[in-house]
Formats: sequence, C-alpha cells, structure tokens
Amino acid sequence: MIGDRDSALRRIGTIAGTDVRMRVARGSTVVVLVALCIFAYVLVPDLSTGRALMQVNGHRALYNSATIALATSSLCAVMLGLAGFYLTSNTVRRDAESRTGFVIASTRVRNFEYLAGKMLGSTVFLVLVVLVYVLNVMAMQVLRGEAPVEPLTYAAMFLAIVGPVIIVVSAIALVFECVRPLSGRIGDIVYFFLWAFLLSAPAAAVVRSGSDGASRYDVFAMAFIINAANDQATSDFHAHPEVSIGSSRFDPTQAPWRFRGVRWSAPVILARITSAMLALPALLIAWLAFARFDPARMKEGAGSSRTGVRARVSAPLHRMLRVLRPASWGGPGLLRATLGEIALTLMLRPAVFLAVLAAAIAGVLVPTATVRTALIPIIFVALIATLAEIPTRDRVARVDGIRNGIIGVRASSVFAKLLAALGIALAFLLVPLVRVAISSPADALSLLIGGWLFAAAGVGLGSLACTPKLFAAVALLFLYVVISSAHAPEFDFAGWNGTADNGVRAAYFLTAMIFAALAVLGNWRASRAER
Amino acid sequence: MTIASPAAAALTLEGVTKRFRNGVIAVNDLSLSLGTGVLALLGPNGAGKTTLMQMIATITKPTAGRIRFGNVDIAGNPDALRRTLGYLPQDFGVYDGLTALEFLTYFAALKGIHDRSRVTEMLELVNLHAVADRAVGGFSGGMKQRLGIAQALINDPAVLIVDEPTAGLDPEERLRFRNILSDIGFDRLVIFSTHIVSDIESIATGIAVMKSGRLIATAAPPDFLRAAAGSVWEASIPTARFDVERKRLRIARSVRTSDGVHARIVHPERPCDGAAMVEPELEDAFIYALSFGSAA
Repeated sequence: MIGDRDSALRRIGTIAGTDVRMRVARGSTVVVLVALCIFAYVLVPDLSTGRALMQVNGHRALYNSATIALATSSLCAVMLGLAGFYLTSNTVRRDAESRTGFVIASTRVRNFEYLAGKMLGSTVFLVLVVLVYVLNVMAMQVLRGEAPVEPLTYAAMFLAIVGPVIIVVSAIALVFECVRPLSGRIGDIVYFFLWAFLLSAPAAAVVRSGSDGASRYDVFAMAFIINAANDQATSDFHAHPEVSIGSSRFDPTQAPWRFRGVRWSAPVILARITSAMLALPALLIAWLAFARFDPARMKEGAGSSRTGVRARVSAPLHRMLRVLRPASWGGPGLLRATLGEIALTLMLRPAVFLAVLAAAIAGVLVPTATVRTALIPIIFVALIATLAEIPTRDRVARVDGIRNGIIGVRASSVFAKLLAALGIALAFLLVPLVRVAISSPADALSLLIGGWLFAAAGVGLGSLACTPKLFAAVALLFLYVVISSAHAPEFDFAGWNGTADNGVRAAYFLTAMIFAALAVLGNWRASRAER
Repeated sequence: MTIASPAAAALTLEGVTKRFRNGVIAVNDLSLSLGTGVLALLGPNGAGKTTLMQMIATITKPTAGRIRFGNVDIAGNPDALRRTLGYLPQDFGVYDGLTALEFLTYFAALKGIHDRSRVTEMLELVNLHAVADRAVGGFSGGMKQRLGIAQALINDPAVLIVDEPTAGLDPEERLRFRNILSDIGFDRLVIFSTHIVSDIESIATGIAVMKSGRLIATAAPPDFLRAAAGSVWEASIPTARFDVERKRLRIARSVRTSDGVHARIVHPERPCDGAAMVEPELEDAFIYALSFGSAA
C-alpha cells in the first residue's frame, strides 16, 4: 500500500517535472520572460518622470516594499490570470497530438495522477514565471525605490495574491482541455469572459456593498486588494479613499503616503485559501471529463458534430464555399497564395463567413456610436479567434512539409499569410470602416491600422512561438486594457474612442510592422531549421 | 480462430466488437486466442487493425465481447495487462524539447522503471546511445520511431503491441527491428501490424488477416502459404492487353519487358493461356486471403 502511494506520488512528480522541462524549453517562454523584464521596468516608473505606481487621494505611495509588492502583485494577478491560461492550456492536447497519450493510457498511470501531474506542472511553471517577475520587480525597487527591499514582504504578498491565481488558473486550463467543446479556439474566447467575470465580480461586490461573501471567490484578489488599501487609507485620510494602482501622473506638491502593508488576520488568510480551493471543483470536472485518450470517445465527439446543429449549419456553407477553389485561379503566385489562404480559412471555418456577414449587417443597421463602442470591439474579439490559427495550422495538420516542397511557396507563404490575415480583417471591418470614415476619416485610418496590427500580430506571434495561444493571450489582454482605458489616447489603437492622434497611429503602425518582421523572422528560422 | 492452444493462451478475445456512436463498426465479432510468438496483423487501411490493437492495449473498451489476459477480463482490470504491456502506436510523435535520454527516462518512470541503466540499455538496443543527449526535435523520422520502439520495450513487456512500427525505418533499421521482435517473440507475445508483408515474412509465428472489421484468416505462416498453393501464377501478357487483364485479375506484381508484361497473378483457377503455376509467397497468400476468402 505504501509502495503504491509512493509510486503514485513519483508518477505525479515525473509528469509534472517533464511538463515543466518542456515548457521551459519552448520559444514562447523566452518571449514571456523578456516581456516580464520589460513589464517590470515600465510598471515601476521613475518618480522623476512625474509618474508613480500607486496613489491614494492624489498622494503618491512611497516606494517601499509593501507598496511595490501590493501594486505589482495585483497587476501580476490580473495579467497571469489571462496569460497563464493560454500558457498552460495545451498540455493534454500535446500528448494527444503526439500520440504519446496513447502510450500513457496503456500504462498504470491513473487518470487522477495524470491530471494532478499536469496541473502541478502548470503550477510550477507559472511559479517560475512569477519568480522571474518578482526578481525583476525587486531589482526595480533597488533602482527606483525609497526604502530597503524586504523579501519577506514580497513573498507574503505574492503568495496571498498570486498564489490562488496560479492554482485556479492551472486547474481551469485543465478543465478547458478535458471538456471537448471548450478545448479549441471557442474555449480561448470563453475563458476571456470567465476571466473578466472573476476579475470584476468580487471587486464590484465589495465596492457596491462591502460584501465579505465576495472574498470566497475572489481568485484574482481584487476585493482583497481594495480592502487592504482602503483599510489604511481610510484611517490615514479620514475620508473615502480613491486608490489608483498602475503607472499614473501624481501631484508633486502632495506629501507621499506610506503604505505599511497588509494586516494578516485569520479571516484574510482563510479567504485567500478559500479562493484557491476553487481549483478543487475544477479538478473534479476535469477528472470526470477526461477521456484518457480513448479514440472512441474522441471519434464519438467528431461523429456527433457531423450530425449536430453545427454540422447542419456548416454543411451547406461548406458546399457554397467550394467555389473558392484556389487551383483554378490565375494571377501572380503571391496573389494566388493569398487567396488560397483566405479560401482555406473560410473552408476550414465556415462560421467565419457567417461572422463576416453578421458584422456587415450589424455595421449597416446599428448607430455609428454603437459601431464604435460595441461592434468594433466584438469584431476584434472575433478576429483573435479567426487569425490565431492561420500561421500554425499547416504545422498542426502536418502539411507544412508538403506545402514547403512546392516551388516558391516557402518563400512567399509568410507574406501570403500576412496578406490573407489582413484581407480577413478588412472583410470583417469593411462596413464599420465606411461608417467611421463618413464621420471621421482619421478614425477610419486608425481602424485600418488596428486591423493591420491584429493581422500582423497574429501571424508574427504565431510564426515565432509556433502556437496560436500567445497571440490569443496577448491580444485579449490588450483588448481588455484598451476597453478599460477608454480615455487614454495611447490605447486607442483602432480609433474607436476617437482619441488617437497621428503619433499614436504612427506608433501602432510601426508596432504592426515589427510584428510583420517577426513573422518573416519566424519563417526564416523555420526554413533554416529544415535545411 | 486460434493460433495458440487455449491452455497456453496469454490473450483471449471472445466476440470482440467495437461500434462507434456514429454507427461505424470498426471491429466486428472477433475471436482469437494468442499464446507466445509474433502475430502479424495484416489488412488493408480501415480494416480495424488499429482499433483492435487499441482495445488490446486497454486504450479503448470493446462495445461487446471480452478480452482476457490469462483469466482476467482486461475491461474490468486493465492494470493486470498494463503492468506488463509495451505499446507503440501508429504515427508515434515525440516531445521536441526533451533529449532522447529525458524522453525515455520519462516513459520508464511512468512504467515504474527507475533504473537508469535500463534506459541506457534500451538506447543502445535501438542504436541511439550516441545521440542520447540531443533534443529529439531534431531527430529524423526513423530515429523518432526507434525511440518509440525503445519506450515500448523499456518495461520488458510480456505483451508487446506495435502498430506499423517499421514505417519510416531504413532497410538496416528494419532488419534490426525485426531481429529484436523475433528475439522477444521467443517467449512472449508480440502483436505486429503492418502493410509491408516482407517485414513479417521471417519472424511471424502466426498471421491474422482483417478486412472490414472482421478476421478473415488466421494461421501459422506455412499453413497460410499452403492455403494459397495452386492459386498463384506467372504469365507474360501482351502490353496492349495488360490494362484489361489488370482490371479482371489480382496482379501481385508486374514487370514490363520487351515481349510484354511479366505478371504474378493470384487466382483460384488458371487465369489465362500460358500461365504457369508457381509457389506462393506470403504476399500472394495475403492477397489470396483478401480476395478469395479464408486462407486457413
């Protein structure tokens, strides 16, 4: 019996350890770690620039460990809640695609051991990512801080705030992989809304009614952070405090406010533990839904989709889209390849055609204000789902070798993919573009640049990381920031708020060109590896 | 159908059926008793070989019938077989970021093997010891396949299931692999599916042919060959007539010569004037079983 338990723990450890090793070796991990260094640098602004990390009632918070740890851990929780899902939600799929899952299924590894190992692997990986982030933040305190670094303060704050995020996100990622309808691109979008709900609902409950009940599902610690900052600020300012976390301009005439840290009472600690416990029901769902790589269960899923409502809708569309046979087209190679990529996108995902149609109809029917504030953001969410797989689908379907063997295709494929992504973005945005152009040509130019930005980012990040997840994570997080910062011109990348100026437009166009260059670089790297 | 006496049978399949929810019957009422030796599972694409192997490998359960390992029904107690099973699936992939040593150590650990020397031994067996510390992402298809074979053998299995294992291997590697299977099959059960009949010619102790989910023939190789005796012919067919004859007859192979096409034909009766009866080879017997029913 003891031997069995020892073996189970050992197997869980083996699965987790291997999972971490594979993740660390990935190119996208390097991208994430570099991004974290940049993020930490930007996040803790130099006070001489007139910006501060945290403010209360116009008083900037003194740069001590308590302040920097609270602010950076809260922002880390928000970011990791989204990015962590996309970074970790491909672990079961990888085993299925490589067919190593069949071998695992033929061993004595229990479903629970496998899932626990995978979850532990994701958790350890995210802990490593957070550790790199914390070290960067502490380095920033050494550079820009106004008090000595207190490692224990950082440890406690990150453990309380980010710890539950890591555990719950790892578990939810596993659920989304095991529940078939959630395991694809739809799941990526669904998770975005789940994340937004888990982020805002507890905070809203606390702000609205001071509800303690919200702390039980306060995974991203928003209610905890509000309470922690409010507790001291209320007693210091004897008024309702207005707390702002994140880089913002401060009033230098106001004396700095010193945040003394969180009071770690039993209910506070218990609330954080309770939030982390949300991972347990998630794990249970994953365990119940896990098919253990049984091809029959997978084929049944595919079979039911062939006869289900989705199939009934997509079958006639699919037949209709057969007219888009690229083989019959003439014209230059790049044009033919681009049209081929667009046709392939529509034939593989007939729903994209419906979505383009719906966007056009809605673009004609709804008022211009609604086009700007609702329709365009929705279109960009749809673009994430559509564009993410364009650069990686050949590799996933293992047809990249066949394609690259055709003369000229390897060299032109990345440009064809970029142009196809732009073409699809324009198809989605065509009617809104016209509507916006009528009232504000400058904003229409922003929208055009926004479409190009997403097209280039989709192909660039996908080519570089060889996974659609990185683009989905970065783009969804970016959209969230854009929507939350309606009055900040620097985030008005697509002009829907009407606040972007020429400088902003030029900056986003340049960013799009950098992403396009990344796509070319990824293609060049892949072709070098083939030689 | 039996290729081992029931008393000696390691695996017994009784009326095994696999029907998917969409109505497709991948394996239909298949019964078989298997002892030690190398069983070659032959059949065209879609015959149900892979599904049968997946059922035996405890990856998917039969919708009807039973698979017993010794006296244990593996649907109810899969661990009885799993603890002594080696399985190499078709189109086996690898984790690109790991080295060969790490990859094999991982699967060894999952199978309860923590002896590092066993991992090294397996890498030597499949001739990958010199590249043990190289990332498998850069391996050729054949090297990846050899790594797959090593993981299947790492726990010294009593039952080894290999699905199209020689795909992607060069002739030397195929020979090496055949020898490994032959050695293992001496006192254990090896189930080996392939399209390449020459792979099993020298090592199979039993042959099972599947078609449309059914087992249409099982026999030891000499009996399998005997069943096709008198049905294999060689004839020289005029080039102009060859296309017509090719549609009418089952031609095992053909060579174009200056005086027509020299063809090897599988047919129960003399297929054409001038056809001479020849000794059947395993490939002929396989075609005979597929085209004209049971070979044994």
